[in-house]
Parts: sequence; C-alpha cells; structure tokens
Amino acid sequence: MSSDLRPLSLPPFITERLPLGYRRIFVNDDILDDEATQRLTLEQSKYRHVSTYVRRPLKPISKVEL
Amino acid sequence: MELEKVLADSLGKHVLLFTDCVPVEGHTASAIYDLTRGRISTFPSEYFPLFKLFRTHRLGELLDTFSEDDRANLHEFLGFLVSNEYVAFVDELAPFPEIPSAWDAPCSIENAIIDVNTQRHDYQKIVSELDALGCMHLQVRSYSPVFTLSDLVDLARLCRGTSIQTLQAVISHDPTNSDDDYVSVVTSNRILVGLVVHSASQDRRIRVDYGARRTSAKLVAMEIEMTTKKLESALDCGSITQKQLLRPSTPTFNELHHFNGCLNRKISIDETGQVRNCPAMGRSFGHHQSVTLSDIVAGPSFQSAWRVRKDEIKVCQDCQFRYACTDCRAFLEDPDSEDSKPLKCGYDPYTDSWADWRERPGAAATWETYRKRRHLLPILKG
Repeated sequence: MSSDLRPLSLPPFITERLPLGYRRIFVNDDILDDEATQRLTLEQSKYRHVSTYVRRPLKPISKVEL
Repeated sequence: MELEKVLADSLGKHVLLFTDCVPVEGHTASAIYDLTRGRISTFPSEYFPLFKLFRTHRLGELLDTFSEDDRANLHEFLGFLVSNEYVAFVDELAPFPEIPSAWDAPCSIENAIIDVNTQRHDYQKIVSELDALGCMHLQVRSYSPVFTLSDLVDLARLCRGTSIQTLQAVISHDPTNSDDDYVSVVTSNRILVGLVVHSASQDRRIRVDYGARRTSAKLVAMEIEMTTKKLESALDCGSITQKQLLRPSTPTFNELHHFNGCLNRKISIDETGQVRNCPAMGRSFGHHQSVTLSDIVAGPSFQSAWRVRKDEIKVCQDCQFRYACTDCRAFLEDPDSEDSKPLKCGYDPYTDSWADWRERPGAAATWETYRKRRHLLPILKG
C-alpha cells in the first residue's frame, strides 16, 4: 500500500449509518481528476449484451461439408 | 458402493430415471439424453420397455416377475444406468415430475443465413429487418472472393447495437490477407464467434486469444479454421454426421420435439438475393430488396416449414438421435416425398451403423438430380 494514500475518515460514514467496510477504500488527491468526480452517463446500445456478453447459438445454423 | 449392495438395499424402492435424463426409443438402439451433462448414451432397444415398468413396479417386484436370464439382463442394464448416474432409487416417484416440454424463443427469427457468391446484397436493409424480427444469430457464407474481409468488418459493424448477438462467417480465402489480418478482424469484432476460411492453401487453425493469457485464454479463445476444401454453393450444406449431432440440452431437446431443428425460426437470403426458408430450398418468397422480411415471416406458408418434426419423417422417426439432429429439408433421399429422410444422413437406425451417405444405393443418382435441378424443386409445398 502506498504511503501516499490516506484512509477515509470514518465519522462521516458512522453519521450516515453506512457500512464501515467502506473504510477499506483509500483515496489520493493526485489520482482524482475531473472524470472521477463527475457523474458519468454511459452510452449503451439498445441491447447491452452485445458489448458485454457474447453467447453462442445452441445449434448449428447450417451444416456445410467442410 | 457395489451394485449388488445398492440393489439389495433398494428392493422396496422405485427406480427413478432422473427427469433430465430422457429415454428416446429407436428401432435397433435407443438412447438416454442427459440434458444437464449434455451427453447421449445408447443401448439396445430391447431394454427400452423397462422404463415403463420402472414407473409401475418397485425393484423387488420387477425382479420377482423376471426369469433367471431376464434378471441377469436387468442387473446388467441397471449397472449401466447406475454407473452413468442416470437413476436413483426412491420411495416415491410423484415428487419427480417430468420437465415440461414447451419451447419458445423471445424472437420471431432466431437465426439467419446470408449466402454470397457473385453479387453483393443490401446488407444494411437485411440487418435492419433482422433486428426488427429480434434475430439473434447470423451466418454469412461466401462462395467467392466477392465478399471480402472488409465486407465482413462492415457487416459486423452493422450488427452492433442490433438484436444480433453472434455472427459466424464462412468466407473464401484471399491470398492477399495474412493470418494477422484474420486475427485482427476477429479480435476487434467480438460479435464474430466463428470464422471458417475455405479454399485455403493448407488445413490449419489460427488461435485467437483476445490478449488473454493462461486459464482465462482457455475460456475466451476461439480458432479460425482454414481449410483447403472449397465451398461452392448451398448444395454443400445439409451434411448430417455424428459430429453434427447436437450436444443435448433442455431447450434444443424441447424445440426438436415440436419444430424442425434446422428451419424453425430461420430465414435465409440465397446467393441471388432471394428470400427462402433455407438457401438450398426450392421456394422463394421474393427478392430481399422488394419485400419486407417481417411480412414474409408472418405468412403461414413460410412458417409451415418450421413445423416439420422428426417424428413425422420416415426413417428419422425410428432413429434414437432424432432429438439431437437438426435435419435437412433441402436434400431428401426421395425428392418427391416431403416426409423423406435427409439425403446426406449417413446413419441407418435399422442396423445402428454410420456410413458415408454417398455409398447408399441410389444416393448418387438422387444427388445428381439435385445438382441439375438446383432451385427448381418445390421441396415443401406451401
């Protein structure tokens, strides 16, 4: 673990009644950039599985003699 | 535990054939389809009536009614069933109902074929209309260098963001393409799940691992198949061999009970652009540029081919592999009979033997008829 990282402060989590497992997250200001602090909207295709999961046909589409 | 002891302890119990292990009766040999493990075991059909007795008699009752010889046979058959984990011994059968045999798919068209030879098609229109039908799998088969690797990339791009989840291609080898070109196209188009290159200079396979290493590479890798054989036309389709039999699963097993394994929810564009159930079948439903695929699919005459079940086809209805075989309605052993078995099937269920279909009496003459009358036979009358 890098010494540059500092543990998150726990009191805000306790106040918000969030699980303390979050304390395992460490932050470093240097690696926070605009992209990390903005809420992103991902452009997804109509069928998300096209880009995330490729299934196989259960049966051969044709039976060519090769 | 030894079989003897298992049987001795189970005399008061029923023999339960697990509900995902389904027996299929054939003329000479019958089969058990293990739908979960995806395997088929065959055994002599003389044993098949036992499955009915298992449902009505407990093991001890069965043994009591059998002669000494029959008991030995039953013992041997039970050994086969137990060692393959097809059966368990249970007090009651009622808690183990059969798996429902219903089948459906969340789409009007499940798979499609586009054949290409001397002319290109309007791929954008085809893919757009397949998307409207919810088509999940597309195969393009090219018989000449007209369809290039670049065309394949364009087609893969058209399929992105549509209902089409997988694209398979069988294309002609182009000597100007290197192995890296093929690998690059497959790697950058994840939708491409199969690529066969025919008319190549040598038979070999090119491994594509998408940059993955070790065990993960085994999971994601695919192989590009290069073959010296030449694919010339749709006449080169319809081959049914042991290799072509489906690995059984509940969805395919149920589908083949109710529908034709090849034609159900399929639409094809042949090499001249005509829309057909299968590129090799006689009936055309119009040129793809002048018709709408959804209009054709909605028509009862197009869907009639979907319902030609193996149970209604001569010879096939006596074959224990009928629910693992995707059939062929384009080339029939008797071209004048709609319920004839596929010409290119090499299995004989009456002798339980595989052979080259060309060696069957009359097969060569029938094949010559198909070669001459290509696309003229109304195989299925609408």
